[in-house]
Amino acid sequence: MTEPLTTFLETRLALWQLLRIPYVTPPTEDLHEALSEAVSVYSALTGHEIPPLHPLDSAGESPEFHRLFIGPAALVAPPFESVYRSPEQCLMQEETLRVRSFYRQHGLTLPADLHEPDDHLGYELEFYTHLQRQVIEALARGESTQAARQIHAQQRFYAEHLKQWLPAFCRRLIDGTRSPFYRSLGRITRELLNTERPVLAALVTQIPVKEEDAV
Amino acid sequence: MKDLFERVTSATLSRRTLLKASAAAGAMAALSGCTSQPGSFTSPVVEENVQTFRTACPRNCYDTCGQIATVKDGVLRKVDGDPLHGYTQGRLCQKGYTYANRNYAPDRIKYPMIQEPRGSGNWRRVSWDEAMEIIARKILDLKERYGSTLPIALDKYSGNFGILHYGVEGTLQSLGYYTYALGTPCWPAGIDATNYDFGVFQCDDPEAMAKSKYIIIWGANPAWSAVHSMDFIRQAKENGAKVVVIDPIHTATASQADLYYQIKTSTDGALALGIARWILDNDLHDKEFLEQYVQGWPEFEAYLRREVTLEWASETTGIPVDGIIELASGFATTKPSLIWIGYGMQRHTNGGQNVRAIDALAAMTGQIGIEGAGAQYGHLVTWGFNYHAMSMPVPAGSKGLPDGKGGYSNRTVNMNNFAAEIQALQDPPVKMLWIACRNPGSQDPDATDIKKAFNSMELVVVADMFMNHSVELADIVLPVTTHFENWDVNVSYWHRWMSINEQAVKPMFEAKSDVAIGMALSKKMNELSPGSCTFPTEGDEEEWVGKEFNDGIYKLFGISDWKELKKAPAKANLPAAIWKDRVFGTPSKKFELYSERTLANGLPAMPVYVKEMQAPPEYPLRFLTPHPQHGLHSQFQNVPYMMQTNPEPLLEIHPFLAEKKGIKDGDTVRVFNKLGEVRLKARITRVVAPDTVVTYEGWYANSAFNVNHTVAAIPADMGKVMTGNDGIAFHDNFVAIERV
Repeated sequence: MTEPLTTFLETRLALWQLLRIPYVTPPTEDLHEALSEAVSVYSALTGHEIPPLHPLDSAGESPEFHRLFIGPAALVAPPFESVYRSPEQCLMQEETLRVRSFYRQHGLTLPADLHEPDDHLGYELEFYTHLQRQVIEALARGESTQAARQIHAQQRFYAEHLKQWLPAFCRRLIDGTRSPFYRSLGRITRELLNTERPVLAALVTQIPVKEEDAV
Repeated sequence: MKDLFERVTSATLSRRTLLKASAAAGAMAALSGCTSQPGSFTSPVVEENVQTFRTACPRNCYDTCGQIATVKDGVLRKVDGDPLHGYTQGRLCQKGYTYANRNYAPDRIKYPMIQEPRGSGNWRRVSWDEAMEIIARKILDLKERYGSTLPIALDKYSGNFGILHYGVEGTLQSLGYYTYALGTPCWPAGIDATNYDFGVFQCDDPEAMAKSKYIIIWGANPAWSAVHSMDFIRQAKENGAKVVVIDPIHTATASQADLYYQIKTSTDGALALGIARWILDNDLHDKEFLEQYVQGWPEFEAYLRREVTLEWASETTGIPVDGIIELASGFATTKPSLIWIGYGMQRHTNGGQNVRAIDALAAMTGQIGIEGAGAQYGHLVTWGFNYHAMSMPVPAGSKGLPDGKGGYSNRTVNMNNFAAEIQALQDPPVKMLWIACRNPGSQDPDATDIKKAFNSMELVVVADMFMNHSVELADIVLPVTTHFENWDVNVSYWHRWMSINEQAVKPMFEAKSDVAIGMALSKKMNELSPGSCTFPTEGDEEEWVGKEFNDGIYKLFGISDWKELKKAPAKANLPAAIWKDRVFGTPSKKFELYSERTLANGLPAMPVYVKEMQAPPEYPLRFLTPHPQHGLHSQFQNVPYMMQTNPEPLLEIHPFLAEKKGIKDGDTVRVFNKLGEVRLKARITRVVAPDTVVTYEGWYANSAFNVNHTVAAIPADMGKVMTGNDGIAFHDNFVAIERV
């Protein structure tokens, strides 16, 4: 396997891993620095213009983080897939169960004592980066068919879930936030999402299923 | 993207960032391997695990529905009426049908959170442990400073009427003697009136309404707020009954009636007395009944002859003499005749007195103790549980208010003047508030003073499901379960059914039941100061349901084990007409038209007319704020279905008044008096009288709307005897209006 491919995959993984953080916990300067770098490197790598990350508010982003995603008031941008996709616009709908089922197909589950919807953005991104890491690990083991399957799983998860609701989520985040940082994060997420389809398509061509493994 | 991988050499991530990303992957990560479902692309997991549970709507409502919760894959999918519940008969109201949606509302409160500073909107999530530690330390601090836990005040009431929810009172009691809001804002004047007249607070089986031939619905709007009752009224109508509605507002119930009387608000007693006088003049009173079973008829008869004329009644109530005669003759000559006395009509300075005047009509016509007859108000006869969750001992050595017998007691404040009283208390002052099953920020009179009272505290804890006006004023909010997420048992203050509430699903996020919150607090209290709290630190809530039952309840409901309720709701074994023996609970054992007890309490002995409160010249309009269609107090209106159907509150204005004030439909109107103001969009309608404006109380999502900015904490005339404090004259609220 080519070194540039691995480096690319590692960069992409790092970016998505870092991107998840401000959706699950208030961002630190440390995170901001790393995410900024990852955005600009990935932007250069893909040739896709990704907007820069705005600096953190000097007073910290914690109040805004809670207002956007935690509560206790009605959330500005509820980070749950089913809210955007279900007719009821509620938690724990069919979409949530489909996400749960997707995780299980890949041997993953949320702990039984965690009574949170499986389709929280944090878990979906955790899962998406898990699939990405699987690709890297499979390639390192020389199992290119396994890697291709994980790419395929990403394509499915992207098409069936992420792409289905994140644009609407990002719209609510961008329109509703009072924080320039979170507005830029919403824009980055939206652009990154747009890069995924061509990136995944390119990866499919780079990591072909070995003929003897083809089903 | 063709050259995707060729750019790699020119741009690479620093090693430091790669490390950070790798570390980030672990932060807040939750997914873990599950061996039961090995990776597979082809066999999707399909769980067809459908279960049903019996639940009970625990809201402050006549109907207290039995429900069936359908759960699939651990998720509440739908909520139906329980077909085995005899009063609610397998159907819910429109609020009840939103429950599955409400349970999974994205804006439910999910975690314990702290607001710093209070009122700032600056919230942060904390762990249960951290929240309990802050609360426990404040309790211990107050106890140390004041020598007791009296500086802690509880305001808890009707947000959830489940019996296990009295564990909130139990939690506070388990800390020591405390201060609590005593009373009820809803119905106390009528309770006392019923108790003065009949001697016990009880009523007939409302299912017997179906047997009535003449039903007067007086100041109630069941078509909105007790929909299942309408079915029994419908049955009566199909059997030929006439239905009359008396209300200052032409309600949805009125629109289904044969006769509707738009009475001047708070003059109900005058109408009842006018009817009584006509019945007397036409010799249609039941002399035998009055002779045998009623105390004070001669005195009341003399009063009617001396003071009451139809012309006076007409002038006072705004109802033409002909109308009074039609009503009186229909009521007195059609039997059985029944009056349903609503709670709206007693929220006045003469409310209890008016209820007594209406009760007098039932007594005069002998329409008591007969199925399909009577003056029906409410009851609490099916509520004889153990209140185990509530009955916690105080910790050893606790001090409270000296009870005069060498011991101590809790301290009470008037629930209906809560803001003023908790601010005024001294020795010791109130320093901490615990709010549960209640939203005083939205529902208490004088909203401005409520805010002031909350702001004067050192710590305000609110346990709730949604971010309402009370949570806005809190330091700490604790997420509570829905009734699908906890165990309970429920009865009604109207019908006679009892329903189990089985836990159907696990609590969402970090919500805890009120009992579980008590346990968590106790654990922390005892950790910090052993022996400082007697509430159990663990326990099975289903078992706690069992602990609420006793032989009396079992006998009343004809069951031998509470678990039988899992198969079907049970109905109390009581005569449909509760006074069929005509032995009353009063001192005289008779229905008391003349009451020594009212006299002793500074009230008129008889249901003579007490003049309604008059509008002051500067605020000439009466502002009525009755119960809404799309919510129950501050619950349900915030649900998206309701927000779509009824997106904003409206001010109902009669066209004459609107014209006089230059107000057009849709204009914004300022409704104000010296206490405060409310701004509302005008709806021009003839459902209200020209001297009255109406909006419906409630809490709308993302809205500052609150009807109680203009409502003063004026007491009603009765309530003290049975509920500890007089009611509130919510509907004696006078305002002026202007177009904005």
